[in-house]
Amino acid sequence: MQRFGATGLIGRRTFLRAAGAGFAASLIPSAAIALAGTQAVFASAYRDRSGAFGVALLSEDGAIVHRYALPARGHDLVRQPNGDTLVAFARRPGTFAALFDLGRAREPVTIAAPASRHFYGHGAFSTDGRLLYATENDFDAARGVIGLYDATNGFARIGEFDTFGTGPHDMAVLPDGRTLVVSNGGIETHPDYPRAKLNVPTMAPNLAFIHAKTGDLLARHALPRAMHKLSIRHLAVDRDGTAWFACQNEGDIAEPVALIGRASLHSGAFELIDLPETATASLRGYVGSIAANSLTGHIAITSPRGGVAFSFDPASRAILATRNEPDLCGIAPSGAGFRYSSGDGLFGTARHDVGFDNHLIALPAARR
Amino acid sequence: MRIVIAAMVLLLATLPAAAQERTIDAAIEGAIEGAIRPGFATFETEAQSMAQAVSTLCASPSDEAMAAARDRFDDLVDAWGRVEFIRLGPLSQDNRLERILFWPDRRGRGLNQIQGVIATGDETALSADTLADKSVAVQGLAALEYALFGTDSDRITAGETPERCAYGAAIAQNIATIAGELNAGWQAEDGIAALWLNPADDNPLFHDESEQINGLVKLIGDAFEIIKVQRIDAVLRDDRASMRPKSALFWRSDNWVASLGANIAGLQALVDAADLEATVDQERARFVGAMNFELANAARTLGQTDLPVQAIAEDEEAYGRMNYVRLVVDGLATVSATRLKEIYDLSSGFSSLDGD
Repeated sequence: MQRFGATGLIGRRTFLRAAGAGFAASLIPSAAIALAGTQAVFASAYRDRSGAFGVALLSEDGAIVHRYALPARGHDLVRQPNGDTLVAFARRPGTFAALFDLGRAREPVTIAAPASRHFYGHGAFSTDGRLLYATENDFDAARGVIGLYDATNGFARIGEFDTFGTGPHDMAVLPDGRTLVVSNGGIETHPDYPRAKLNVPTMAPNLAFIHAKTGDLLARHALPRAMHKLSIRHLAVDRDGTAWFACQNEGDIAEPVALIGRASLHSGAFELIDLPETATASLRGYVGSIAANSLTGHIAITSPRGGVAFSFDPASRAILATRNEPDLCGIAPSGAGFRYSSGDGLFGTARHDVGFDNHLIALPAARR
Repeated sequence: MRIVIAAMVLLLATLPAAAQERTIDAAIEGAIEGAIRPGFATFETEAQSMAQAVSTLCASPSDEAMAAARDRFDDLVDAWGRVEFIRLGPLSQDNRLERILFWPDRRGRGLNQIQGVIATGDETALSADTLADKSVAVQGLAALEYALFGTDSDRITAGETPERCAYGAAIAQNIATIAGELNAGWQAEDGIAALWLNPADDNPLFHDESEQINGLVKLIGDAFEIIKVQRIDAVLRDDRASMRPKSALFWRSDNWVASLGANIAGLQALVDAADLEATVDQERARFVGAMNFELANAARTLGQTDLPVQAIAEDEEAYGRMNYVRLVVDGLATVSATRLKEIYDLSSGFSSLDGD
């Protein structure tokens, strides 16, 4: 069994610039020691043993160097380009997003989804960092929307786009900066019945490319009718701008089917990707996270239900590394490999007394 | 919930101990042989009785035939409630779960479709064969309940609405067909039971003993969660004044409390048949015993509150009893998702929930 690589991502100097000098100066001594050896930082939402929720900043060597409290369970995180804000979205059907200033110049604040909307746990910043996008549920209309929040004006909500589907989950901005990609999972939910799936027999997931400025639909892809129970949920955009997507199967998981695929706005390609049969079966019908490594072009996926992670070469589709751990879900690029986290507290080879939420992110250096 | 968990913890010190003597294989086999297979066999039998009763009603409408059909519906709801959370294998295939029960129907789309079928006498809904190809919302128990108990259902008795009766007969026959598929799926020697009892590297559902027991623990935990959140919270809400009786499953046939009772009875039967207490050491067995104690509390309280949901909305004491059931089920949901998993050294599954 191979392990994922854990090589450095950014240097300490870059990290300090990313996190802000005040951040390092204010750390307690033990955390400062951990930070001293830091070559890269990651972040993940977590739940601790007392049941409290928060966001952990993690060092390259696996230490938790800082924690932020959250009012309830968080899900995915996004780092602002050209700025110091780290956003933690509430796990669906939560209604808050917490904003943390990595420079520690400002106290954490939360923003709320508007009435009749809730967050889905995911979002993205525009490439200039001035706009925050968040996937949201217009639950009375069973319609997905992208909320638009102005990062230059206290993250005021200034509008919304249609996602052109039901139950949007993850989203990303393509490298061109002009295109959003959204995975409309197809599953209708309503806060009156938290987490109940209201339309599985008729669910119709799709992947939509949307103009980042106008909200116009640029392209929309659906799976074949026979595969309509594959809910397209998570995304990773590779260095070429191809959107890799990961699914969960709402159908019969005793008959394993491909759970990942890729779509290109440029070429119009949209396809499911077959991995070896035993690998697909081990995912137990559920991929929890997907990540792309921009150095190598490799893709990695995790399945907490299968307790497994794979990285593979998208060209040959050969599996490069396999990791088996209970409740393995978080995954992020790290050097030429990937770093993972689990609901049982694993982060790389370190173990913490927390359960990490589904998503782990590498904190990119801010461009200043 | 804290009270319930505290009660469970207190019970650890008082309940009799059991020895670790039962394998996981034996527990799963016990659950299948002692609860799941008999449960689905009963559901098929009741579904056939239901179909016969509606057929008789349509052939010779009368007060007696209507009463008999409605009684069979009560029995069918009971049989369904005991197995509806075995959402593994046959019930998770071919939309069978939703075809038997499309619920919650939050936006009333199912009800609108059912009323549309009855209003128009849609011929494609009047035979089981063609009904099976229509929307899942018009095929199952909610549709049958509306046909037999909904507005103007008494006109069936007078022979004034033969199409409505024929629709009811088609629904009942359709449910019987699906019930037969479910039963056959569980009885098959090479079906889901074989997968559950034979973990292997190439088994698509169960790789090892840990996944075997997790399959059972997950069924139980998910059931408590659904009962609490979808079946009770949505009805009781914060207090009696804000209660929503018409959000209750099977409120038209006064089967809300009975269906909850069937759910608890089915889960109790599952736990009993698996004999989970015997699969763990004495200390842990006490916890499983505490779970049985709370299941019995819920069953007893539901038995004392066998009232129409509208009557509960007008009765503070009855509301309080249902609130207690909610508390117990909430506690069971929490401990199933945490302590029961710890007992079997299973991952917390913190990251494994649907849709995240």
